[in-house]
Amino acid sequence: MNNTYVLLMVLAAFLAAVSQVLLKVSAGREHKGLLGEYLNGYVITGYGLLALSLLMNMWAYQGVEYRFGPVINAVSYVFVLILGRLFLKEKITARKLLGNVLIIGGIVVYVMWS
Amino acid sequence: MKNPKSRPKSDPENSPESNSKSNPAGSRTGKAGINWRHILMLQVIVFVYSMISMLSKQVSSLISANGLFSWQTICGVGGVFLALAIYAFFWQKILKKVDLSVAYANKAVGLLWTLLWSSLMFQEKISAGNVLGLVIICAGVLVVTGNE
Repeated sequence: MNNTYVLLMVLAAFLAAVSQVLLKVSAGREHKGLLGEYLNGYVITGYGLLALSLLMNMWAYQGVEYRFGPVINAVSYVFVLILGRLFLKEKITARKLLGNVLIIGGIVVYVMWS
Repeated sequence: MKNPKSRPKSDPENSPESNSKSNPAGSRTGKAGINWRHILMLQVIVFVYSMISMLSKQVSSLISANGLFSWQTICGVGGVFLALAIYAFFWQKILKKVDLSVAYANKAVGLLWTLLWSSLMFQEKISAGNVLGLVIICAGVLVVTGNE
């Protein structure tokens, strides 16, 4: 694996996590009709960031085997947990923390023992 | 956005979304208000998302072979974005029902599909470590989405 491409994927994962926070904010608000639910600033920015994240991933896949891509992207679970706490006030319960530690541990095993 | 009636619903404990009307099983499925229907919907969404990552890898080959602005690459990117639009529609629906951290953790199950695609589509070698790592990741997902 090429480290530059891996870093690009991690950055893409962060952008994807930010986009998820924006989508969740939008989902938690009242909108006028189905159109308003999808065509608002949060959703448009959110999916814009997700599209940018996808483009970065497409570029990065040139130097990363496919089987590692989704696993590297899984670092966004931690980003989402932290951003969810900071911006959505979602509680980081012991269960969520343990689950995410397991997820990260699994990612390490997946990547290191290949 | 500036609708005075707007209200945050990210805290499921204070959210009508988590009551018995929108979530019949909410009273017995923990603070996140997640039930088996949400899990099923999440898994369908996860499958679509795994298709997006698989297509992204295909497009990366197009970029390498034909350049970023070739018609083949542009068509490939268009296909990925179409799949993203389908994913987006349903993801937005599920976010109304469950905590973001819970919904997002379910995406880890997409790694099951990763192994399948990497083996079938890209002929990549799957190691024992990959399988073990995947089992641990799925265990983590079960812990996050389990009842509190």
